[in-house]
Amino acid sequence: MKSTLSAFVLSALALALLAAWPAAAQDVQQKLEAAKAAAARNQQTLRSYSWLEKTELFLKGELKSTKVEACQYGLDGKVQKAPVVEPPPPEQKRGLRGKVVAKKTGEMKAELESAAALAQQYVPPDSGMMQVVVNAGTASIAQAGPEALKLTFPGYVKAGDALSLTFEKAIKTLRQIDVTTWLDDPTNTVALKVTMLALPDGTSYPGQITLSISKSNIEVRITKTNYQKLAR
Amino acid sequence: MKRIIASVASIALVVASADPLLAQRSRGSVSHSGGSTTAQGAYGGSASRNVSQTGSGYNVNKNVTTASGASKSVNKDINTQDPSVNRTSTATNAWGQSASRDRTVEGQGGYATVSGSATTSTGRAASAEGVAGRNAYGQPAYAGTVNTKYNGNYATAGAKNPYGGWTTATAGPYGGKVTTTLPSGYRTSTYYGRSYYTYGGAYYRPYTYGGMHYYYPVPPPYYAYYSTPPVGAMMIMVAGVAYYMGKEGSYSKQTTSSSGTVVYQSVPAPAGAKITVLPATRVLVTVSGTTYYLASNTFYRRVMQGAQESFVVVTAPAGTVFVAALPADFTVVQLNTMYFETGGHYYVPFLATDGKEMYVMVDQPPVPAGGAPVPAVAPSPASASRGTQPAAAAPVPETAVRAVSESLTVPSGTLIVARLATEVNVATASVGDRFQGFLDLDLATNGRLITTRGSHVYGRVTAVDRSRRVVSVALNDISVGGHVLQITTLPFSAPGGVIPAQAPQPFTLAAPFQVDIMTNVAVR
Repeated sequence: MKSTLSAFVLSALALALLAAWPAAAQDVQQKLEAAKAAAARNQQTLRSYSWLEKTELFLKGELKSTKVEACQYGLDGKVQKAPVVEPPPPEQKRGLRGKVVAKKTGEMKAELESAAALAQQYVPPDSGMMQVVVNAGTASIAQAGPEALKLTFPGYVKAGDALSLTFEKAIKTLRQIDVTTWLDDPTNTVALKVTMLALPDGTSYPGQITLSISKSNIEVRITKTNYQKLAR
Repeated sequence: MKRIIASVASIALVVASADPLLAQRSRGSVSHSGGSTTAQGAYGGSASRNVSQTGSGYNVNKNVTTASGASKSVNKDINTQDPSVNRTSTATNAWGQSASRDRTVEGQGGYATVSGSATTSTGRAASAEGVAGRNAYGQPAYAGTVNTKYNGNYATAGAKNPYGGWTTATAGPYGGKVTTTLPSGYRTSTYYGRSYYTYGGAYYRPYTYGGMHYYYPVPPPYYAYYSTPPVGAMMIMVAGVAYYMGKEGSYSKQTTSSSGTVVYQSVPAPAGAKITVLPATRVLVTVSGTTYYLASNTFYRRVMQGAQESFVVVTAPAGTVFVAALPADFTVVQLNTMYFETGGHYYVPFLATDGKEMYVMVDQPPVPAGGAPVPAVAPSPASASRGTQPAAAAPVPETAVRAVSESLTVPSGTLIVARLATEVNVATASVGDRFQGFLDLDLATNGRLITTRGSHVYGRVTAVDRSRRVVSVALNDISVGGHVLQITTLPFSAPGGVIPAQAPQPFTLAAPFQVDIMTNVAVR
């Protein structure tokens, strides 16, 4: 998602932890400083790479379109994308069938936009909202494998949702973000999964992002690969 | 030179297409008014000529348009006081392609200086300058240089024969140019699994710099065939075998093709061959205190016999630093040839006799008159600021580097963006059909370049469903550094049952594969 994801998440997490567990405050404060410095370095290093971003749209498990873009950071600090492979223009169908297809496409597009807007309420996580969950006493920490910790914040935006952050044990590196929420009714669930990967020099990046909407059976997969150092 | 011939040919075509128009004047109309003549062809063509007096001489303006839409306009300013003639012309063919020329001739008393330039709408360009006059027999003669955008520089001279026709001589080309676009009509050839782009006898290889793709001139790859020896080639006998050395330093020898015709084949330079003049693109390589010369993948050592200086072909001296890949932070410097500069070291491309593409670390190139080496293309701010410093004062790190082999794993999920050479169509394809293609983008992973754009890929059709109009393909092999490696990609299918040729398609690596690449490491 955003390249500053780790910094936001770690700051927010530390603030929440500080308030919740004062005894651990000093230790967490140190970890926070280290994490922020690491995140800033990571962000700077990431700017020296170009990569490919593949966006796939699945409907009922069937791949409907694939788009590949070449990406790199511009001088303005924003990611610049240039299309490499674009999906072919949709076949224009006439008559009633054409109208049905156009209506379905419009609905799907609207639903995807709503889901994307909803996802933005969760990523990057907000410290204030995490604090609310911590104060309510519903936040939990659990082992997620031998070297990982998973922090879960249920009811983060609305009842029935959950935001989970998985870190390596020293809480320096974010490994994964999982969001489970719903769109217009609790049965229409939306799931977002961001998997952080690392380059050999330690630079981490969101390697795989998956957004799925259960009711309409839509899934969007964004994969970032082919990282290459740019000439200085 | 081919381009010039093409320009002349295009103009000749325009003139040729105007000939019928002139022949039909009698059926059209011709009118005179003051200094103007207008002719209207019977089938839609027209020609006009306008002559007017100016303060210092005359102006002549001519326009010819043919019924097919081709046209030519010429504007000539004749200054009778200087004296000089400025001539600009634009010729456009029926398909809208145009060639523009600009020429200035200035009388110098007994001879004239000529300078001009020409560009075409297809991106070709050339400039030329020289002198023209009359030789000892009173015949017109000229001599000068032509600087082309794609084919290097030529020296040319000619004189009109007393009994008609011209005798001309051309030497060159002297060095191709780094370019971002290949000339239209270029051809792609494959040697050692790598793509070479050729045009007019010049060979190019691609490289990426700052996210942009460029092409740099390289000597002909070994074992390429020609129907004639290179332009201006010199014959050198070594152990009873005749070799031909081109102006840029490449060697070839005569052989016979499978059809029995005489052909010439590019070969590695024979050790022991002796020349007296080095190619202009030579660079210096100092190894253990001895300086060698390197031109077109050939090392030379200077030999003195009395006052006679010559240069003998030698094998690459021990201690020469070869690297298989350059770090991504290189800059490009175009002097007498193209250099890649990185970390204070200079490199030139090198093709080993076994076909491996490498880079040789060479001495810092001499500073041309007027300043330090200038990066040829898109210099980074850092390199631009370095360029303002005198090169001699620039500190050269003492760190030596040597090439080591490194094994890398290309993980599954890596994207391979490739173009298929031929279309795969559900109507005609069968499962198992083979196809080949080439990389549309450099293949990089985990921050490292694995192989460059243009590398070959090979694949098969994996599924054909004619009722649903679905055809799937997958890649099986990829060429990396001259070696073909087995790979597995996920099946890829395009909507409509057609995977078009020459359109980039994304293939996702289904299983990781290992590749050995050469990398340079510091030796302290």
